[in-house]
Amino acid sequence: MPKPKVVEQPRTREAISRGVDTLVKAIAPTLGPLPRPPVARNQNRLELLDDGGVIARRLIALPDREDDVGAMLLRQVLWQAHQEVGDGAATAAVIYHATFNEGLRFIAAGANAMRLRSHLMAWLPELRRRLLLNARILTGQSQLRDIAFAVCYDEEMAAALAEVIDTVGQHGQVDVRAGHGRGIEHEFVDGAYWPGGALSKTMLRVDGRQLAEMEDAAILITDMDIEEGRDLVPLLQLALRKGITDLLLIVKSISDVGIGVLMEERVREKLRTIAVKLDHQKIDDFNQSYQDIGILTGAQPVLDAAGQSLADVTLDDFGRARWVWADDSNFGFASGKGDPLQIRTHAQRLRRAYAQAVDSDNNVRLLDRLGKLQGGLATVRVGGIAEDEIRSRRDQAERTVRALRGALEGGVVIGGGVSLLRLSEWLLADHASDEEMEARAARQMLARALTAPIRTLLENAGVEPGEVLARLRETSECCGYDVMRGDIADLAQAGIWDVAQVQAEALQRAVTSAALALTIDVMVLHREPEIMTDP
Amino acid sequence: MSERDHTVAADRTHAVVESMSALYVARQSGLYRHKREDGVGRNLYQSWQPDQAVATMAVALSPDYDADGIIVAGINGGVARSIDGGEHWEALPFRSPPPLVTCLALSPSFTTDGIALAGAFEDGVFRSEDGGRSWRAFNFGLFDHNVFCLALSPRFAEDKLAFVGTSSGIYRSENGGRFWRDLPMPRGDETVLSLALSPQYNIDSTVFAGAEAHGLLRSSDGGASWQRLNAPAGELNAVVALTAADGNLRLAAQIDESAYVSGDDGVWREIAAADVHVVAAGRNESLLLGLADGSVRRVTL
Repeated sequence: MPKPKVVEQPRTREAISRGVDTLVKAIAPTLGPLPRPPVARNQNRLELLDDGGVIARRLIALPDREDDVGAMLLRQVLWQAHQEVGDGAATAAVIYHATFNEGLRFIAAGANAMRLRSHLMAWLPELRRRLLLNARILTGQSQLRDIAFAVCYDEEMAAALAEVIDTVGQHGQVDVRAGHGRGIEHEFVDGAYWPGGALSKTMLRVDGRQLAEMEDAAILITDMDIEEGRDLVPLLQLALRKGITDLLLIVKSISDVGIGVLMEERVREKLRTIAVKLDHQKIDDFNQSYQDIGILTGAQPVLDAAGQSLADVTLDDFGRARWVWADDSNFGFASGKGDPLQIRTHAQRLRRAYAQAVDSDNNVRLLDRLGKLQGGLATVRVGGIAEDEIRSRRDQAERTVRALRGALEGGVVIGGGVSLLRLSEWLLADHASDEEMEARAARQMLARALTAPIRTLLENAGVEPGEVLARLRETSECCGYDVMRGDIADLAQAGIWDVAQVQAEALQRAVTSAALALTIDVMVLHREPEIMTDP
Repeated sequence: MSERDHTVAADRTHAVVESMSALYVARQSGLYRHKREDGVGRNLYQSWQPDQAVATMAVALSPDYDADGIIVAGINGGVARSIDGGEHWEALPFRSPPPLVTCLALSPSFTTDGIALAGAFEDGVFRSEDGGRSWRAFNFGLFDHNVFCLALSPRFAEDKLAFVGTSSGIYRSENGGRFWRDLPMPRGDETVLSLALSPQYNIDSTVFAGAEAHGLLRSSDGGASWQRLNAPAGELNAVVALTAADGNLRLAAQIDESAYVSGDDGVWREIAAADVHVVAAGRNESLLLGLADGSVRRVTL
């Protein structure tokens, strides 16, 4: 068992530096269209790691505990970038590395780490603003395809996902699943669906598909556990009296006796019912689904929690949808007949909440809800030769979808690291005005860090960065190095873009964390370190 | 202004389109072709559904109709298509439940891109990419599936721009009718029964909308903002924007059951006082009025 210890300077910075170096060595080669991905051995399996975020996740801990602190600081940045914007982990890694290493140099020359950090943080809002200011709105599927390719470097995947996102929109629901063939297939599905499914297989059609469908169905939502068959009687009487012939009944649970009542021959002749449940864990999720289904269909949820009972149900409580379906694990509908203005207002409210949400779980939940309001969803099936390849391509597809959403939201900037390079040139243009040493140092650190992505990208392609960077200084803003063609080109014309938000987030997170790392003087290592499976 | 009457059998008329040589009249009882020369309408569904009236709410001809003979008709249950000028018909498969198609539009480049859009009451928008052979719903972003009208940009092949009018406002698509974005509308004008794009849309970005409650609206920025226009009071069932012989933009409107044309001075003149069921653009700067008695009247601007 390791002993507890306190590590002080200069060992602290040396250890962090080694940890960061180790991780960056694994990640930097993945940057750009000509990557050299590392391989990880996991038990008896070899896995090709082609994305910084994935590498960060696979690399649980470095053998040296002191070095691992440095790796852990960077890993957290990379994992957040991977989770929230889908891309930019490698960019963040090389920016972090450059910022930290330059910082060490200036600290060794007498700069104060806290003042350095303060100047670095002061620059970030303006750099972010300038970067996003140059963002262009995406126009059309071909530009989406270019962006997708810049993330996944897979032409088939880029074309499929560009069509999918172009169709479902920024907030549309995209289900990425493992496919059976080698390629990528996608389809669009009408309406929305929820996890749950029919409460009895007898309600599903037996034709090999185990799927029940209804047209122009009424929908009733309740949070009740229906134990007794007689509890259903007032509801069934009302439905029959009002001429309802097809009913989707969303309940918390229903007993076998209750199902027997619904399936009774005399009832079924006049009223066909599919009883389904929602499969959620949290009470909030139930309430949000009740609200969304209610607004989409015009149903008023009948809630036990509000002291209501099925005897209180009126015709106004029923919603409607043109097409309803259920299988044993999901149910859904298309063309719900809720008030369109209310749906529109609800969607606007969710969009605002999504734009303001900072918690990633909440973001995922809001996106899922927004997707259900959109009128349809896309299913993408990702194939491959082996299970590992399928899993890796699926991760890549999910990452690309997240990046494309970001591109639709915040636009795109010139790719190939050029947008960051131009920020670096802007930073250095007014160098003489800084009076304080740390201010000058912070400016130089950032300028160096902003060139790190293009330098790495060129090195990965086997090109000497110095000469190319010198040539690029003489060219227009849009020019950069087209790695695939092996020459300087107008990257806008060549369709080489980066997602503006991805670049901005990578810069922000990397510099913020690296600046913090520079100020760490002491590391306290416990006897039994907490085992973390997530970065 | 010259007028010429085309008498067809008495029936409710829903839509009128014109080819080089004939008028096609979508009616409650079927789809009629009316040759100018003989003045008699013939129900084109006779060989297909001789024993029943196929209510036809919309009709569209291929832009290259004289060469390919493609007619697409919106019926209760989906779309019917003919590739021989209406001699033979095929009802095309739609997902269940069968939609009531209320409006149709074919891409100006239909011959090459094969794109057609159909709006349906309760079921939203359907899109075909193969010349109308197969259709599937594209309701992404469309919160209201009661579609009453749709309009495509004159440069649809390049800008992929389409608009639909619904019971709760107007939606705009920038990708050929696959994803829709809701546009802001003045309160109370949400139910939009008709839409028309300026023939010079690529220059002036002007869209006209006929609202059920308050008449005519105009947007000069592609739908981002709307202004109410002066128009006779009533339910604006159809609006047509066309370039008159003098080169100026003219508007025609069907308000309740009367037809009006706006002059250069912005003043509306009544051209038919009653019994107008349809106002549509005809060939050579003319208007076609589908009247309650089943006749079609041409008005040259």
